[in-house]
Amino acid sequence: MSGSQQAAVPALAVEGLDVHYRTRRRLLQPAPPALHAVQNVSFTLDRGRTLGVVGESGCGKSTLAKAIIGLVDPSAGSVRLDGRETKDIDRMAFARSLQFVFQDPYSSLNPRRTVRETLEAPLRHLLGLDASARKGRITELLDLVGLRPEFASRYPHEFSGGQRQRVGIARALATDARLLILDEPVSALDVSVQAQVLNLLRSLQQDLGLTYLFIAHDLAVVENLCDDVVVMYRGRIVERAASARLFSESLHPYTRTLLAAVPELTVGRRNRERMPRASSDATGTWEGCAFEPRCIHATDRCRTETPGLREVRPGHLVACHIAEELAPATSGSSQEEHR
Amino acid sequence: MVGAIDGSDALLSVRDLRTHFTVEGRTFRAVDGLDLDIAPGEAVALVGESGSGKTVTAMSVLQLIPDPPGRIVSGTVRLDGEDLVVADARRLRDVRGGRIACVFQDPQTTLNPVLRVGTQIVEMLRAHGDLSRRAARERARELLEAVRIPDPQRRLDEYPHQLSGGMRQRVVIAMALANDPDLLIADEPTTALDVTVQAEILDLLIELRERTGMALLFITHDLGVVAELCDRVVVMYAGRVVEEAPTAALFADPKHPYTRQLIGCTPTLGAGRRDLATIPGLPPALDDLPPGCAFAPRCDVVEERCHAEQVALNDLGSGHQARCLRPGARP
Repeated sequence: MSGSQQAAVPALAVEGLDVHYRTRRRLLQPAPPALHAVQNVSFTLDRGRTLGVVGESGCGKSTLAKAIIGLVDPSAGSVRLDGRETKDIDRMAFARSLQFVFQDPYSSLNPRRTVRETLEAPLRHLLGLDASARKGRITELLDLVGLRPEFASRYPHEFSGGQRQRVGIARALATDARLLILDEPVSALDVSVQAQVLNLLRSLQQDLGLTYLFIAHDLAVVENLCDDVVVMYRGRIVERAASARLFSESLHPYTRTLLAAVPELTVGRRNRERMPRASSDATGTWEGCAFEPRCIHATDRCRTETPGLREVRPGHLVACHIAEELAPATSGSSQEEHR
Repeated sequence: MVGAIDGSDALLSVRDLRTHFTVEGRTFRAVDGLDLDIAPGEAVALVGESGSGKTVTAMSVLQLIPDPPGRIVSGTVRLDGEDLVVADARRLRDVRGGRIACVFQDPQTTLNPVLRVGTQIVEMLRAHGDLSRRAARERARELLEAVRIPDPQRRLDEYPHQLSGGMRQRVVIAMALANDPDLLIADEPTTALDVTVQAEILDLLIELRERTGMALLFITHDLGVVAELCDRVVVMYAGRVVEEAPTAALFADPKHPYTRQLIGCTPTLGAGRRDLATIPGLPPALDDLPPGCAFAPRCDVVEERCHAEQVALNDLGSGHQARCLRPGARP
């Protein structure tokens, strides 16, 4: 809910999305319950904005991206691009409006194709451009991502990691897609290169009016790039807020745990919010809040009743029964909450 | 604790180490004239970006450089005065996993996937001491307990794939600790882990160091991790040490432009949305290093003379050293 554009159709709207993976049945054992990778996830993303999705491995953030792209079939729920259900959009039109950038540009670029060949494929097949138009567009794309025109005839292995990711971004931009799904696009890069790519993403967004769904595990990177952030835990959204709010006044105990775990450039051992170890059972559904076994604030109610995502403050959604009680402590005295 | 620079009282003392790789007739100077001292019980961080030579340094200390294509062309690596570069294979087998233990980034590839966790630790213990099988198994259980693995007795009989990433890394640390090493070399041990798990592993390393008094060489690209754990930081660039300082001094007042710029382009929590500082360009090719300072082409306070001459590591006092003609200069 970004306020001003209530009436406009969001670039991306996800409603009640569920993705279940069937787990393998072992010989002579009863069929195991399905793995609920994404459960009842809903959000909207307005044009020109960046929504960050954060969470640890296995929280369902990449499955969410795959479900939006159509690489896995959701068990329930809908995904709308500019108001239209993705399953009603033909594949060519879909590929022209939404593209993606993956973590490892080395494995997502064909090693036997030059950059020109990689960039030509979508221009020819999706846009139907003729040879001279393609040539011009390729030069334009390389310029857009800060690569020299002569790089077009090189192969992926001839590039550094950062340059390769620039090629990945150029490929995603080739068809003029306005919505990009960025799945850990900078996590394989060195810090100095990561900064270059983040700045590039920001300037491309301003120049081209792009909309980003940015999936990452590095919270500082997410804060740097995103307008709004959703935090996922075990397949569910546990908190959603404007980036500035989330990083200064998070309410969900899991978000706070995550933030406390981030190493900072200050010397000395930090006092972290302690938590008991999680039970390792990631499958199935259970009663109560999924974070309850690790939560230092858990009550009896948390063990029996699954908290829904609700608006605790304007624009700030939290899936926690006691979010209100945690709220005042965020204004500076959270230390008292430590055991 | 800081600045055991002359190496005489150091546990590990590396002098003028040069490890080069020759591929298709081209020589890559991965490590080129490195000095490094670690005092007993000291925690030293080796920081740098990919290709800076930090892992090759660790592999050189352990004498694990694949030859060919790699070769230690000069230098000494002394452990309590004994030069490991000239030690024979039998002696090195004793040292590795004995006095010097190591933990690598990916526990999945360190552990043998077809052997039970207990079997692997027992093998490690029996290779270095004459424990009975039963005593070794009891010791293995103690080690798992020491690295805070819940229900250690049961875990002994599990296979690596049955453990989470954090648990696997704990098992690897337990194996490294098996023979009470004097020095633990940890090469990006938390890079593959989630932040909350990383925090747990860092806490574990801090605790183990307090308890055992072992020294630590912690290799990482993440400056934030260093801040919590290490007494002293050594920053590498293009195969050389460019700065070395006590941790607090390095963060408060970095003297080398590379260190300053590296800190500047690291995103930090609470900084909000803004353009990040960047370091233009790329590190130099290691088979074609510039004649002067290797960082000069990317430096924001570069002068004519930086391109002309090799720059020595200059002592700036209080254990702070920088390989720069204009230490502390700002643009």
